[in-house]
Amino acid sequence: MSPSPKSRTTRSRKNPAQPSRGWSLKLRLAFTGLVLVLGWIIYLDANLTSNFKHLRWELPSRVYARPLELYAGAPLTAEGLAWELSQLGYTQRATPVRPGDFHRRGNQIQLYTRGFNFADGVEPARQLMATFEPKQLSGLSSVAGQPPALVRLEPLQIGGIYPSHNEDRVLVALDQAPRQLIDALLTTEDRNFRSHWGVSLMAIGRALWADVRAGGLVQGGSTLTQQLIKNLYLSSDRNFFRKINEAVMALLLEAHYSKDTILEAYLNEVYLGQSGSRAIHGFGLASQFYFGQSLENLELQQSALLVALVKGPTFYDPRRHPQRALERRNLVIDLLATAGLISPDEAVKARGKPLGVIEKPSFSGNRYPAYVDLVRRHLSRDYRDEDLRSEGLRIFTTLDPQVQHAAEQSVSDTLNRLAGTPSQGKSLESALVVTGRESGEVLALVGGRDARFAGFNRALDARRQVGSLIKPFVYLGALQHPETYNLMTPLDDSPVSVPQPQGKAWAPQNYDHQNHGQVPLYAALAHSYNLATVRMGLDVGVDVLVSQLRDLGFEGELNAFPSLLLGSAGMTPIEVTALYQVLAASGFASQLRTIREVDAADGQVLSRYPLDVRQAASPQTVHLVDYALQQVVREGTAQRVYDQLPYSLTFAGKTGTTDDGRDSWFAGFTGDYLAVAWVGRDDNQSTRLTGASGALKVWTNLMTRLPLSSFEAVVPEHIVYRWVDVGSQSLSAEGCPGARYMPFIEGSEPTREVDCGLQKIPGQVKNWLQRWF
Amino acid sequence: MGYLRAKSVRQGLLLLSVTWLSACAWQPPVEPAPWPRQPPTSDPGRMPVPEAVRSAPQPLPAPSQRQAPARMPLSNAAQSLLASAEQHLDAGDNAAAIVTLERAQRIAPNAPQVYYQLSLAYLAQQDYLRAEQFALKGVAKSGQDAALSAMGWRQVAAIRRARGDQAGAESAMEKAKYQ
Repeated sequence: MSPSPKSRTTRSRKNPAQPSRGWSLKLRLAFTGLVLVLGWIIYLDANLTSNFKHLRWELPSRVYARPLELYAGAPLTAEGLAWELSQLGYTQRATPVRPGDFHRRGNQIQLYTRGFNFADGVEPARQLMATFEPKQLSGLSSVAGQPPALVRLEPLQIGGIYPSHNEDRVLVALDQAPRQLIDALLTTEDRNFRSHWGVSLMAIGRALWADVRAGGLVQGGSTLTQQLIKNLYLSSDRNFFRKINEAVMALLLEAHYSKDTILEAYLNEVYLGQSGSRAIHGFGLASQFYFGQSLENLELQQSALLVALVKGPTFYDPRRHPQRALERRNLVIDLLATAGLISPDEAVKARGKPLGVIEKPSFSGNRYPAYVDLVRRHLSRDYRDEDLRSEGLRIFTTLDPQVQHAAEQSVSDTLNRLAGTPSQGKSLESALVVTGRESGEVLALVGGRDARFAGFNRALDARRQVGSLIKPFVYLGALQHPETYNLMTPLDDSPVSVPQPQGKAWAPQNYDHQNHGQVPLYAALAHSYNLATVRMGLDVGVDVLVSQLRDLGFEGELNAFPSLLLGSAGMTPIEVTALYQVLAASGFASQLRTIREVDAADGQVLSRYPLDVRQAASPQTVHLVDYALQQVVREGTAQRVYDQLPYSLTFAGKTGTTDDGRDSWFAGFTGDYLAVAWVGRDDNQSTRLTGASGALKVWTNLMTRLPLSSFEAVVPEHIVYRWVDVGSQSLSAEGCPGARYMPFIEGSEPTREVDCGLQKIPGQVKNWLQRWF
Repeated sequence: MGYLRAKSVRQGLLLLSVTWLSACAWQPPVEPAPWPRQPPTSDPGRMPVPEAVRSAPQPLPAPSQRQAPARMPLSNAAQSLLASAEQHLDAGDNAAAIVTLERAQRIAPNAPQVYYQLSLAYLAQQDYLRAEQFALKGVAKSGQDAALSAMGWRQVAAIRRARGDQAGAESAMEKAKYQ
C-alpha cells in the first residue's frame, strides 16, 4: 500500500535525509569517487606508458672500431697491442688468469682474450703469447693446444648513436652494467626489488619506524621503481599527494613492464651529479663524468662510489666532499660484504682504494666525434634516424683506434710546432684522412686541431682549392697516349699564355718563378712545374682531365678552364682521398668505407657493406704515374719526409700549394696506408706555408708513429723496365752515368741505344766491379 | 832488474815484429774506377733546381727486382682464411666465403688469389659485374706472372660470356693468349 502523498510529503519535509536515500547518496558519492579515482588511474597509466615507451625503445646503437687481428706477420708493435688492450679495459696482471688479463714483458705479451660473438663466427676466449719484432708481430702461440693462425680481439666500442634529445646521455643496456654495480645498487637502495610489486610495504614500514624513532623524516622507503617515477615524471615536492601518485604509478609501471626493463631504465635516468647547468643522468654518463671510463670497465670500488651517489649526488659529491663520498662508498662496500655478494678479502681491498675520480670531467661516450660523424652520414643513406634508435644495433666500423690516435697526435703536434713560427699564430687548422691503401677503408679521420671537439668537420666539409694535387691526374691523361707521352718525354717548361674569352690572357708562373726549359715528364711532376704541366695538359685537353676525374668518381663541381690544370677546383680532404685511392690501388676505385656491417642486437646481419672495386684507370698508366709520385718523394718536392723517415723506404705522394699559401696539401701512400693532410686557415687567409712546409709535416709525423713499409708496386703486365739515358732519349745500361731504370708501356720505350763504354766490358768483370762499388 | 830489462826487450821485439807483419799485410787501396757515387743530399732548405739529367742511378734496387712476385708465399693466417673460404664456396655458402675473403684481403692485399676467389664467389651468385671487376683486379695483382694473368683473363672472358658480352669475352681471350 503506497503511502498517501500527504504523508510522504509531510514525512519528506520533516526528514529530508531518510536512511535509504542517504545511503544511496553515499553510494553515488562513493561511486563517483571511484569513477574519478579510476579515471585518474587510467590517466596516469596512459601518461606513463606513452612516456615510458618513448624511453624504453631508445637504446643506442653501439658503434665499434675494427677488431684487431693478431697473426704472425701483422704490422703491429708490442706498444700497439698493449695500448689497444688497455683501451679495451684489460687488466695488467703478473699472470693472466681470466679473460681480460694481460702481461707485457719487453717484446712479449701474454694475454687472455675475452672472446666475442661476431656475425661470421664466434671468437672464443683464448690464452695466447705474442712475440714482437721492431715492426711486426712475429709469433703467436697458444698456452694450450694448437696455436691459431689468426685471432681477433673483441672490437673497441667507440661510441653510440643516440636520438637527438638524449645526446646528453651515455645510454647503457642492462648487460653492459657490471654485475657488482647492480648488486650494490639493489643491496643499498632496494633490497626487495626483485620481489615487490612497485611499492615495498616492508621498506615503507622500515622507513616509518626509522622516522618515528628519529622524530622526523629520515629514511626514504622508496623502491627503485618509485625513484624512477620520481625522476621521470614528478617534481621533487615531497608532499603526501605526490607520494600517493608515485606509489600508484609505481604499481602501474610494474604491471606493464618487466623488472629488467625497469632496472635498465633506472640505470639510465637516475640523477648522479651536476656540472654547472648540466645535469648528469644515468650511470653510463656518470662513469665518464667521474672516472673518464666506460661503465663496463669499472672496478668494484668505482661501482660502489656511483651507487653511493644515488642518495645525494650533491651532498656526496666526490670532488667537493671527498671524505663523505669515501665513507658512503665504503658503506656500500660493507653492505655488499654483509650480504655475501663479495668476499671479505675483496671488500678490504676495495675499501683501501682511493676514490680515483678524474679532475677534468668527460662528457661523452663518443671518443672520436669526427669519425662517428662520417659513420652517421653513411648510415643515413640506408637508415632513417628512427631506425637507428632501435635498441642495440651493433655497427661495426673500419676505424683503427691506433691509427686514429696517431693521427690526432700528429695533427696537434705539428700545428703546435707550426704555430711557433712568426707568421702562423694559433689560427692554423688541419684535417687528416687515413685509409688502407688497398682496402679503401677509412682507418682514421681528424676534422680539426682539437679532435675531441665535435665541431666543423674539415675532413668532410672543408671545400678548398687543391692546387698541384691535381697534377697526377693531368699526367694520367697524358700517359694514356704512350705513342706521344712516356715518363721521359721532354716537356717544355717555358712561359705559356692562354687567351681567355674575357680578353686578358692567363699566364701562370712556376712556384720559384723560374723557367726550367726542357724537362723530362717525370721530373716535371716530381718538381711540380706549372708551365710544363699546363702545356702538356692543354695538348691533351682540359676536357680529358674533367672526364678523367669523373671516371675516378669525383662528383663535385669542375670548371673546364685551363686553370683546372693547376688545381682550380674545390675538393674536401675525403674527396681527395678517394681520388688518390685509385692511384694507390692499381687504378681501381672503391667507395671509401666506414662501416663493414650492421647487426641487430640478436646478431642477425641487417646490412653488409662489401669491398667493391671498379677499374677506373688502366693499371699500366697508373703504374707510370706511381713511379713519378715516388720521384716526388725521392727527389722532388716531398724530399723532406726523409728528415724523419728512413731513406731505405719508398713512398709515393704529391704536395699541393695554392695561391698565397692559402692551402697546404699532401697526399701520399706507403705499403699499408694512404693519408691526405690539409693545413690552412678557416678564414682562408694566407698561411705562407707550402705543401712541403705544412701538410707534409703532418703526414710525416703520422708515419713516424705507425709501423711502416715501403710502397712497392706490383709491376703490371705490358710494362717493361729499361735503363735509359734521359738526356739523349735512348736506351742505356745499368751503371752508366746518368742512367735511370724506368718503366714504359710495352712498345713506347726508346729503341735507340747509347753506348757509355760500359757495355763493352765483359759481364764477369762488370759484376765484379759492381760488387765492389 | 835484469829480468825487467829482458821482459821489456821481449816486448819491444814483439811490438816490432807485429808492426813489421802488419806492414807487410797492408796493401795500397785499389784506385776506384770513376763509377758514379750517390748524389750528395741537396740542401734541405732549398727546393733543388734539377739538372736536366740526374747524375746517378737511383740508390735503390730496381722496382721489379724488389717487388713481391705474384706467387709470394702467403702468411699462415691468409692461407687459413683462403682455405676456409674455399670450404664455404664448396658448400655453396657464398656470403660466408665473401666475408672470409674480405678478411684475407685486409691481411694480404697484394695476393692475386684473394681477388680471384672473390671473383668466383660473386660469379656463383651471378653478380657478373662484381665478378668481373675482382677478376680484373686479380689480373692487375698478377703482375708479370704470365701464367697467373693468363688464367685471370680467361676468367674475365668466361664472366663476360656468361653475361652475354661476346666482344668483351673475345678481347679478354686475346689478352690471355698474348702472354
